[in-house]
Amino acid sequence: MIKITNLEKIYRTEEVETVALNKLSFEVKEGEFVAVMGPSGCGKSTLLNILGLLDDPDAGSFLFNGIEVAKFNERKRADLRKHNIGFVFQSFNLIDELTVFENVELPLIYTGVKTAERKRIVEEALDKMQIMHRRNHYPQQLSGGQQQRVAVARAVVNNPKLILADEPTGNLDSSNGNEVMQLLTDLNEQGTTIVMVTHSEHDARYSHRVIRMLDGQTVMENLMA
Amino acid sequence: MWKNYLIISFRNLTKNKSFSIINIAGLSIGMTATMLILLWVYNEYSWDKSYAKYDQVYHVMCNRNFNGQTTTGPDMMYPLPEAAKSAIPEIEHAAIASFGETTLLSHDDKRLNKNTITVSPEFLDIFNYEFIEGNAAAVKDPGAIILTESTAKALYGKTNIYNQPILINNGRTAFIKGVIKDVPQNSTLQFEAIIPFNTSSPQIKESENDWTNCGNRVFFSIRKGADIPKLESSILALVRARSKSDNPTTKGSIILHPMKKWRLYEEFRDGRNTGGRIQYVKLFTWIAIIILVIACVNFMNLSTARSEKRAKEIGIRKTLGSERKQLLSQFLVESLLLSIIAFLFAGLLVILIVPYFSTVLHETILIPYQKPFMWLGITSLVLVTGLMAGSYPAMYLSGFNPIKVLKGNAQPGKQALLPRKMLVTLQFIASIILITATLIIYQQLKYVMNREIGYDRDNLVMVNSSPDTDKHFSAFKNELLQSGAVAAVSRTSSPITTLLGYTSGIQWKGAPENGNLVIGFLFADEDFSKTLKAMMVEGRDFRNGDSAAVIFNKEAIKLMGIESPVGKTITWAGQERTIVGVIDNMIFTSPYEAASPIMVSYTKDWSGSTMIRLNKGTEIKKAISGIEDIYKKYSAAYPFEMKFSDKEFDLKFSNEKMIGSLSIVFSGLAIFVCCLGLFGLVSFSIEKRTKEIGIRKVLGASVRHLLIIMSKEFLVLVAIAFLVAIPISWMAMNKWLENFSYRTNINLGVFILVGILTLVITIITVSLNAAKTALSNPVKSLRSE
Repeated sequence: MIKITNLEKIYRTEEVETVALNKLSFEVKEGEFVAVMGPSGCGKSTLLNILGLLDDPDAGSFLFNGIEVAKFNERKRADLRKHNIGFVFQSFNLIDELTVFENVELPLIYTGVKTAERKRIVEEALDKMQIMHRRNHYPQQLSGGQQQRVAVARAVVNNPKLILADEPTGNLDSSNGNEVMQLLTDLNEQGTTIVMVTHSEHDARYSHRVIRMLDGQTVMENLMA
Repeated sequence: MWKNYLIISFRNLTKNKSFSIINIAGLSIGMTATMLILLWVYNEYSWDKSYAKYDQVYHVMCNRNFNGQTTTGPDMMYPLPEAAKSAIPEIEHAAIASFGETTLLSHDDKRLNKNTITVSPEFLDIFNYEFIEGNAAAVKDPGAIILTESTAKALYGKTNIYNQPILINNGRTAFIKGVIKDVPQNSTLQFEAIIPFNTSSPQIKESENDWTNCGNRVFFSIRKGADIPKLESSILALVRARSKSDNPTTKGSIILHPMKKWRLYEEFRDGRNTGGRIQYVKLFTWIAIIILVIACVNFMNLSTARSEKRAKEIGIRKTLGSERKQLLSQFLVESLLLSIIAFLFAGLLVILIVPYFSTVLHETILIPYQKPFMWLGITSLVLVTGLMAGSYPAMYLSGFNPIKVLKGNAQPGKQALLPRKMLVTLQFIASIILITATLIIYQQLKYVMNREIGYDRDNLVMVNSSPDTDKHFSAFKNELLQSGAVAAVSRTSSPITTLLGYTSGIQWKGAPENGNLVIGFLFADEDFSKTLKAMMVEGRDFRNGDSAAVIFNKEAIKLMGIESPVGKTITWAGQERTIVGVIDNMIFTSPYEAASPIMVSYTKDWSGSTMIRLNKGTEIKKAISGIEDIYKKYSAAYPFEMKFSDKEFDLKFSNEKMIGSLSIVFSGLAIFVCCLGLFGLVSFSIEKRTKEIGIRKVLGASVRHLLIIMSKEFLVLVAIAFLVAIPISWMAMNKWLENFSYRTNINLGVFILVGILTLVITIITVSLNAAKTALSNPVKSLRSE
């Protein structure tokens, strides 16, 4: 599903040049659950941003489902993103002014799903995440675990092929963290490809494979039992 | 999608109440001001449009050279319309009309002085009025009169009065052959009754061949497509061919002044139609735009200032697949929603304010609800405001990098700091210009109002003379003087705030050959100078026993070049007259113009007004009541009408007073909207600096020091605005002042005052916000971080 080859990303300021990704290459197959680990500043988040088409690489190739997307313009990237990729963030990133239902509904609005259909899909997603009873609440009225469940519901509502999770349990206690990891595992078992950036060895154990990064490069890959 | 935009817009509005209130208040005030000004502008442009031949009617004007200056005037000769219509095929209809006169109309015991015009038969072919009774043929009947609806109702209590007799000036009886709807308020031509010229009278017969004396107005309706400059030349050629001798008209030129320019382009300078009221229409249209832009800039500034609060939402939306154009749409929907809400308040305010606005303007301003373009205009205003206010924030906010904003690495507000500062500075530049202009308009008004006008206009009452008061004038005057309230009485041919006319026919010893001195004149009788408290420079006042005496003002004597004038003679209107005195220059007409030459000629035959000087300290109400009783005793058949000279003189400033009032209201609104924006910006700035302020307080900073720190960045902007605005104001207002011969100089004091005013307003606005933070417990502000 994902094949990156010699991917490079360099951040430049007037005085400093920071190499975030240094000829990074790897592949993620459809249905895989891959964890990306490494110390702070190793390039994990940059990688996730590029995979999520939120950022573009300076050099190298990025094939998504066999299509070269590295040089896509903003409109094409947005289009590909909204149909294929779901995001789960450490800090949930829900819109405070929207209710649980409306937050989850948002990706469907951008993909142009009709109102009645949207209602059905959102309710299904909320039900699946066991958050239906909170549908009319605002994010601030929910616990961290509940907020992350809403974020996961929003990530999967469009039935994306790929979910990118950036430290999804970072702001959660262990019980809520485990719950979220279980949700991701379930999704993966249902066929969704997952790439997760994490610092937690515990979370990484839920994945099939761990890519360890240092200074913008892959230093090791482990298959999980 | 749109529903989602609206939901989030509403929630944002209710969540950020202070932001919403500031924005809605700013936009509402801006829109209110804009709509009021545009209503006034619309009203100005609507003048004379009720006439069917709006595009075809022309007023004949003539450029004449008097005292070395070209003067443009409407006075034309009686036979011109008929002769021009016969000779020039492009002229469809031609009519002559008097300038309007006060005519006493009586029916039974009802007597009313009304403004009438005397017209020739084709007048109603040019100007259409809706007849309630009778028809336009009435104007062809010399024994007829046409009344307006109000006049008919005032005299008869009804309008079905066809063929009823009516007494004119207590003399002849005319018959009502028509009642028309009142002349629209927005018509340049105003009257309360139409009287046809009596073409069989000897005076009119004589006028029919008089191509020299000009005393009426001439109107043409001209066929479409006619070459106007060519017509002007043809008319002049006709006048030259028919006049038997050279005179100022034959030496001048003709201007056909189109009806569509009567209201707004009424001024002529050096023989050219230069403009007039249009300058105020343009000026206030710009002010409307400026106020609206100031209000929109507030929205832009506040929206970008609070961008950090919106950044996360934008990041999320982009991550979820929103394209930039969708975000642009979302923010534009928000600003449009705000614009609609602001409009609802503004519309309500306009409806409530319009009556007061009309009072200030001395005009009836109506909201044209039934005109589709008004609704189109409103829609445009809402759209333009929403798009103008929302475009920059939409561009700015939608351009955020989702990665940065979601990571919290970006401080989006900072990127907009320079444009925001520039916009605030621009707002203040506009406001300072408006304040300066207002102060200078008032300074000029005060300067002219305090001008020495050559007589004392306080306690001077002008009462209409009547044939009966003239008949018993000695007794009438004596009784007035004996009442104890009156110090002096004199008759004049017209109220002292106007002249009777102008003459170029004065001859005197030593007058230059081919001289063309034009002097304004009026008639008066004894005690003229005493009543007016006019200063005699030389000689004496008129007194009983004078017969052919004249008094000139200083300017006239200067232009005539007569040495030791008292006792010398002049010839005028076929009579030799002795100069008995010279008075100081008096301002009869425009107080903005330099003093002009005036001749006061003694007469006992021609009176229009009785000037009554009240004793100082007299109780005015009682005095007037006493004068009215005496008037009625001698002149029961005529209505008593009086005017105070000072109030009448003040009417000459009505235009400038109106401009002054408008300026003060709208510049006040502009600065208020500006301060609203500043208030909002300061609150955002302080919010960002809460931690810094806490630390400074902990380290020992005083409240005053903190206020200075917080005010500094805004005071610098205001100072820059002041430095930019002052030269612009100075240049613009100097140009405006050039419109007046008698004008004030712009002095430094105005700018110092504006500077202090702006400084105080800014400090108050900033302090209102900053003081709370400066006085708060630092622990609290540090904890909030």
